[in-house]
Amino acid sequence: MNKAMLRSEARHGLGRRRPGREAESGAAEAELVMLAPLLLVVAGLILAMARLGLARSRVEDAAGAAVSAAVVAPTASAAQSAASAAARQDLAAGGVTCTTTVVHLDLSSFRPGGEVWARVACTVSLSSAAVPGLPGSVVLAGTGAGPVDPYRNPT
Amino acid sequence: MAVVMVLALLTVAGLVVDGARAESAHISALNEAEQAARVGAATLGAGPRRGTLAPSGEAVAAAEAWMARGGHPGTATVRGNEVLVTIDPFPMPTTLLSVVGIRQVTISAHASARAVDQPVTP
Repeated sequence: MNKAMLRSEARHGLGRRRPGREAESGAAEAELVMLAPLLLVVAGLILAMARLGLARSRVEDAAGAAVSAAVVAPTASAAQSAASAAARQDLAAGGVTCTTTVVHLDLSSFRPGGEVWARVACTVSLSSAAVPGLPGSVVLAGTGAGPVDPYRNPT
Repeated sequence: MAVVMVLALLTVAGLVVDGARAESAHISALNEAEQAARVGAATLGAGPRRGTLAPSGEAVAAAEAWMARGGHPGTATVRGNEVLVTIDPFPMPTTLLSVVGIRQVTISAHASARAVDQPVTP
């Protein structure tokens, strides 16, 4: 008996629908073929969650950068522009492309020894931040707070 | 087979989701530690005369008070003109990873800042 004959026997075995090894492995393959699109969707979702999660950490980092820039600024308006620039720069360096970036500072106690609170909100489109082709967008936000430098130079 | 595959996918999804959450929590703790170190160094630099250091206890107290207010207590130490800060490791409950038996991950952060006798440039 050569290999070709063995294979043909196996095929006959399937054809007769005898419950055996070959029939079972065929069912598993059919199952896999049916599950493949579902698995692809799940893999895509996992990829989307990974990329969004990473972008979310970058926004948290940008909030820290905003605070660090604000607390050494000489005036409240300088703090606002420095924080905004620092957050945007940090996001760009992290590869996060925001359609809109809002850097909100709470400067109500902006004085030496006081504190600054920052919130960075970055709107990302899902097709750029998650999976290409996915519609919609999501807002990623991060917050931070820091003490105002007691020795900053007032202008 | 299907059960194994679902468990494997859940594990991967859990690592991704909870890994990203842990990373965010870590960065947040790091930001807090950095600011605590800054306030500690600022206190340390405010000695009785220009160029002298304040008692290290004051710097430690200022840094630790900042961390306590931020919700993640920690400890600060002074070494020379440097304030070193450690956020006490705290647990973060997991979401998807709890399905495969990992109920929490531990987050910790360190930072340091130096008291300098120079104008700060932003």
